[in-house]
Amino acid sequence: MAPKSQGRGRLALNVQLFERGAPLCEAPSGFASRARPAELIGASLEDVRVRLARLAAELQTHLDDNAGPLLEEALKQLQQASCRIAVIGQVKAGKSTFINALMGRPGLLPTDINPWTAVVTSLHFKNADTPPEHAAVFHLFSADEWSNLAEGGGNLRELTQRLVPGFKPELLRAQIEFMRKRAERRLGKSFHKLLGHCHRFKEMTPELLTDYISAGDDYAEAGAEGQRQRYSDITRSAELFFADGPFAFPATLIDTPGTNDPFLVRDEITRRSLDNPDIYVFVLSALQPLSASDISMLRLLNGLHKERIVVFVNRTDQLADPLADGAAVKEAVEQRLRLEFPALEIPVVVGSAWMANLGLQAADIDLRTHLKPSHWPLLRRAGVRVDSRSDALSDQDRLRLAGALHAMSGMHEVSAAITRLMGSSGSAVLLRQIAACFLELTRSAEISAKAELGSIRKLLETRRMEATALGAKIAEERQSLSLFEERTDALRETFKQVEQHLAQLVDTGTETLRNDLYHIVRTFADEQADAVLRSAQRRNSNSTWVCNVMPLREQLEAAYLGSFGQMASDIVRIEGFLYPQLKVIVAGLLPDYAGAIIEAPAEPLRSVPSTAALSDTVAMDLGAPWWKLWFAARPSPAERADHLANLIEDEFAPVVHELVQEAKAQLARRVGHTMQVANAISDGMMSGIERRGKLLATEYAQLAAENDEAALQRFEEEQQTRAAACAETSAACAAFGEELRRAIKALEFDHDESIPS
Amino acid sequence: MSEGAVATPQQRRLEEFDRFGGEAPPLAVLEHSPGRIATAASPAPRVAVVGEFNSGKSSLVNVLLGGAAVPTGYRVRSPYPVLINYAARPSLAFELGDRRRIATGWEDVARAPAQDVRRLRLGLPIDRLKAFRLIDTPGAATGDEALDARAFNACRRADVAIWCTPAVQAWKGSERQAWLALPRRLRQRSILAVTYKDAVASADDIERLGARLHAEAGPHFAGVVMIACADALRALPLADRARDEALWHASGGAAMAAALRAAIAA
Repeated sequence: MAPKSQGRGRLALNVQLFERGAPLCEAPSGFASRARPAELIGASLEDVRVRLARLAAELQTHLDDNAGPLLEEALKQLQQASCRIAVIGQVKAGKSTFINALMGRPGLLPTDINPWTAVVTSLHFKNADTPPEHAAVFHLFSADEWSNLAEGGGNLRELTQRLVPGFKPELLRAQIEFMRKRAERRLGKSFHKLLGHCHRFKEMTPELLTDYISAGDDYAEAGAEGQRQRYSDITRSAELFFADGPFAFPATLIDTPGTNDPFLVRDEITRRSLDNPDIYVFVLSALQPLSASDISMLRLLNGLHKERIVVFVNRTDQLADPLADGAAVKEAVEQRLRLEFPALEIPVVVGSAWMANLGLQAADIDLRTHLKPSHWPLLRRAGVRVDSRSDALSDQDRLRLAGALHAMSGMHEVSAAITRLMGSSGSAVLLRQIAACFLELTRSAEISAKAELGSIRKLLETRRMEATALGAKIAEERQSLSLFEERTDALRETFKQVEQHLAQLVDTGTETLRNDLYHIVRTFADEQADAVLRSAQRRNSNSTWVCNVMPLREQLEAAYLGSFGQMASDIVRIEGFLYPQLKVIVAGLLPDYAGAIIEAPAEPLRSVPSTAALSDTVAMDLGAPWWKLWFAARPSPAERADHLANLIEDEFAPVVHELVQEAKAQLARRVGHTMQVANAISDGMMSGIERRGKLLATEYAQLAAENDEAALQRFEEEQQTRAAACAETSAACAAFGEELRRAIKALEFDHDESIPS
Repeated sequence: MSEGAVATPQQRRLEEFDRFGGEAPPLAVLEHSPGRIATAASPAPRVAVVGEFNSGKSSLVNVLLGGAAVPTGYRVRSPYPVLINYAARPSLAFELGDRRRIATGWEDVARAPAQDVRRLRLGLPIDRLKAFRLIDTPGAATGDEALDARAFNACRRADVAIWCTPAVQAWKGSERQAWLALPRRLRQRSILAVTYKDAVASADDIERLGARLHAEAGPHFAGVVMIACADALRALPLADRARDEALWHASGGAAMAAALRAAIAA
């Protein structure tokens, strides 16, 4: 990054953070960079982000000081904007390998033949929020978290025990005990002293990542492992920071240990990390695409309204006939997805992260020794005509082969799909909101400047009037100004009342919401209890009965989003009252432009509140065997019913609380923002009026004091300069407005475009 | 076996087993010759080959039959278990609930001729099938519960089960869950077949994968065997050449044959 200059203002300095860095991360070799994606992920979104940040700085020179805090706030949001992309899928689907391929760094994340990733790992790219001084930060479990895990097995164990009192999940206990013993063996008996610590490193090495992220060899581990200590058992999360990567827009890639892991603790860790990403890359193995556990994971995501998903069918290199079988797999997967999720358009990319990684190593190894005969038809399809037997490859052939491997790896298509999904992500919504806010500010600034300009012109016209007539004119003008002042004051008073009203609306609305949601949970719990009783009365109570909480989630979500939408539209209605008020003032200030330009925000609270809290109960989605156990353990149907009702209520109470908090926070944020905008605009008007008042006073004083020709000449020149400045501001604001409209338009690019296959 | 002792039926079967190398008829022959299956009930033990879809079950069946007799991969996927036993002439038929049989060919196995198809019956003139009968089950975990039920029910009545798991994504949580739900008695006579061994590049990886599977899955099976079915099939004898012993051993074919022999003998 370029050295920061100390002399510049804070805004200018901040804007520097947005300047593009070096185009790509250091490629492992001269060849490798050729096989990198031509276009960085999220480039179009980043373009808008950078433009908005520059505009924020430029706007400040044309807007009143009142707009300063608003711009600062917007700039901060622009800096913190980041898209979270989770890479999920079953254990051993090739998630870490995929991330390495996407990064263009074949050996970055440790991979292995056995399930290897044990820790949820976040890879941060150009996230201005975090200091780049560290390359890797590892958070170890706190003492509480560890003892909760080691003694209880976390939420899974807790829930199981509440489901089945007295039931000991032997497997889970054995695995946790195994993990505890292993931690002891690896880190010494006093490993507890390490808990709660956070380890930071300036440099990232493969060994370091292995120590903290990899599960390690559970079974064939030699007693003496060398001097290195393996912390992965007690590491809660890993954060890696990169100056450059495959992303143009700031992003966080999240690597997960994988679902369907026979090691239950890792399975649990993965499920807990699924709540808040913007985009999911679902990695499947081409050998066993869309198995039952993949389907159930997709259903869960769909149930939680996680709709930005791209499916990457990995490992096509391992198919007997990668071309024909690959096409068949793609077809089958697409068909199945359409059947399961008719409302979703999930892009499916078939490829091989292994091929991408192999292509990146073209300079260092003879690719042919790694390729199987079955791979060649695929590469020939990509246009490669390389003799698989000739002694040495020419540099050109190596390049061609590397290029073909990349082309057939599917990485380019996945990148393009992520870019498209980013266009509808929360980040895009945020940028659109900021652009809309800037547009409002420039409009009001333009109106002020034009009013000022009109005032000055009138002044120049009447300059040579007789002093008395002029005095009367000035008095008249002053009177009208004080009228505007009064109106603006009154408007501010109204704003205060509106603010109170809005706050009250949020308070009472969210309380009603809370009661409604609790009511839904109680009703559902009672229904389930009834269902248990009824199923016990039937003769064939042996069949597997499962408590499916998905309908409850759906009901909660529907009620939640419905109420939220109602409150949001109430707020928008009040906003709709505010803006006409502004219009009245503007019309008064500026009769020529009556009917212009101030409108309510074009962005009527479109962003949907997060329903992430709903996924906190994923542990309730236990399979049939668990419910069977639960049934076996509770003899009396009445007891069962009672217990189940309590369980559902206990489990969902914190969810309701969190949902309500989220709604409250989001609405309060919107209300605050609206009031900030309204006040900034009225403040802007106020200072415009003030300036015009001062102008009148000065002029009057000057006219009264000296009426000589030279003074008038000077005065006219001064006024001309000011008029020019006003015209410039006005023109600049209009230009900004135009650019902002383009920025908003750019964010609404078509994301229905289908993926090129 | 002590000298002079009279051979029991079990011993005769094992001898038959040891004469590995019977050649299976090519698929083309079968499709046009739906002959009758010998009605004599064979007492040979039933070996069920079971696992999630695309886990290499049919390839393994072909290795055990001594040549390509059932189609594999994406080409034909039968939704029914296939019971394979000895017959003087090759034949393929649907068996219905009332034991009635309707002759068919491989290209038609996905089209059920009646509501209550119980399974497919494949008769082959391979002497080894006097030593054991094979049940090739439909792949589990496709999300189709009826299919899963058919596969696991076919397995329940077996004497020996071979659970197939692909080496690169071996022994997932769902596999363990499904296996442990099957009758406990199966476990002492069953084999975990780790298929697509050839997809694992290095010997070190194979060793470490083996170590994990022995620790995690080993307690639930009589043995764990890694096998590259494609290589094992290539090692099998043809009319004009003997078995490629080096490849037969390297592929894991020999280890699988030994493990199956032990399971049948148990």
